[in-house]
Amino acid sequence: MAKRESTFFNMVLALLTVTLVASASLGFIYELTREPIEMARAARKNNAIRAVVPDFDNNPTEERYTIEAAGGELVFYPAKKDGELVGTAVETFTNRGFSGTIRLMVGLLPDGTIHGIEVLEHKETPGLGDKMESDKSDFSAQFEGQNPEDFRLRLRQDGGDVDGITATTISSRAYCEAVQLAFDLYMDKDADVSYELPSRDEAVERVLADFANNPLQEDFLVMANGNEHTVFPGRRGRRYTGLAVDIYSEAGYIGPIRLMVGFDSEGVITGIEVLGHEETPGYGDLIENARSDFYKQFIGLNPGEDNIRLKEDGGIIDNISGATITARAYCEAVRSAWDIFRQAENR
Amino acid sequence: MDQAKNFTKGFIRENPVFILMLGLCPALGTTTSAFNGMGMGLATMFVVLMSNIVVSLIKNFVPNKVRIPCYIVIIASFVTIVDLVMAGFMPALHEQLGLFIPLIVVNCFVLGRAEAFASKNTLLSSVIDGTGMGLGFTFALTLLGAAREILGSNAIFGLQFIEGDGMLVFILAPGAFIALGYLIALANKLNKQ
Repeated sequence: MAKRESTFFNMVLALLTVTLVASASLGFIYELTREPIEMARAARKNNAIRAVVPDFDNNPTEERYTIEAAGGELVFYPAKKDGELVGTAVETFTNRGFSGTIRLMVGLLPDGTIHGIEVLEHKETPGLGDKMESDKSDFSAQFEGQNPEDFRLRLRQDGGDVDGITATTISSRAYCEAVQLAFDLYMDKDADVSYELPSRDEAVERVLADFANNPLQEDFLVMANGNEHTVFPGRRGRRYTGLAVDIYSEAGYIGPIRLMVGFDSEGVITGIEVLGHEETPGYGDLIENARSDFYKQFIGLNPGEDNIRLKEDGGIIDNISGATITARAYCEAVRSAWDIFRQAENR
Repeated sequence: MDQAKNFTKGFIRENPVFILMLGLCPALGTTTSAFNGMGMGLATMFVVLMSNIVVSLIKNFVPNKVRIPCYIVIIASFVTIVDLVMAGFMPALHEQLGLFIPLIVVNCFVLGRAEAFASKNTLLSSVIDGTGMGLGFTFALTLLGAAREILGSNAIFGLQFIEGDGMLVFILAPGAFIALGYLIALANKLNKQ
């Protein structure tokens, strides 16, 4: 048979035939594989549940319940034996992986102790981030038998108890975060709040150590370095006990960082909260109190006596690895806050 | 054409990756380990073989001006079939390769065989070409994956032979380019002899 001419009719006929046959066969294959695919998916989930909780005899999938949190949904699969709860498998997730969403199945005993963790889904780098899978490294084993109540779900370099995977800091951090979320929701804590920045009013109350008044109603403006800043005085009776300063840094890595810094009457830092920033997730955002202990090293320092600068800049503050510029801006904002504190004291 | 030669040409003489330089995107992206490379290679081989068969069967029916869209539809269908069948009946393998399977559609090596060979040759030649080239592609990907796994993770097919991490760069994208460069040089040297 000779090759057909490229006439309009021949072209339409060829395309029509090819696409028709292709779509028909795909439809057929889809019907054929739909059930096995669903079964394989369910089996995978069941295997993950079985792997992370103690022996059970009920059907956890039938008794599952969901809680919405962190912009998504966590699914809880209660595992029971002889009608008694022996553990709960929590399908949790985080969007802060190195390459997107990570889904975990975390098995918790009734008291919140971690029994086991399996990775359901991730897109991390093969050979690096995928070591979080339980059959590729011992990373997940260190969580077993630990209760997040006294086992801090943070990497060692962030002030926690978790050994991260070499060269995979962001994936390891995300993993810890997903486990923390599962634990918090399971223990009926308001987990959403812990990863959300506080409002200005909440921050004022958190950073001041000692007050009996309502600092929010007594706020006033202080001029310093050419700008006006809002401050909130704390008082007990007529005695002045401290001051909370609302301050922006000059520039972070992306943009300015907004802090609420609390001082006692002597100028010693009593608390710091991050109110806003645009720094890089996984690096710069570790300045947030919920994400690392960076802020803790400031508490108890007096910027009039202590050099609030990074160690590499000649000061006493430990850097956040990979986020020097952000950490430097944070220190700068704390120093500016102290200037404002001094100005306010003169009034 | 000598059919034996037709079959063996894919290994070194006309190896799709080392000599023709086609399909480099999956070759670089999926070869973080020898197993992944081999799985990707075999899945691609199935698609090349099937699309070669169909294309050589319909080569006279499809007019020249619409041949490329027709080949693409055929290739995409086979890729989807591989994806669905694997997900349904080989879930463990699909879990390993799931991300890579859809990539086969945009593998110019598959389209290249359809266009350069199957559309001009008989069914038998096309089957032999598809199998030979597919095996050549699998061979290249396995070799590249093995090289990267040995250097990057101190392991081969998942078996660790030295404790600890290897040179991590070979697991990441730059290592893929470095390893591929040396393998291409080697293949060219062998070809000249």
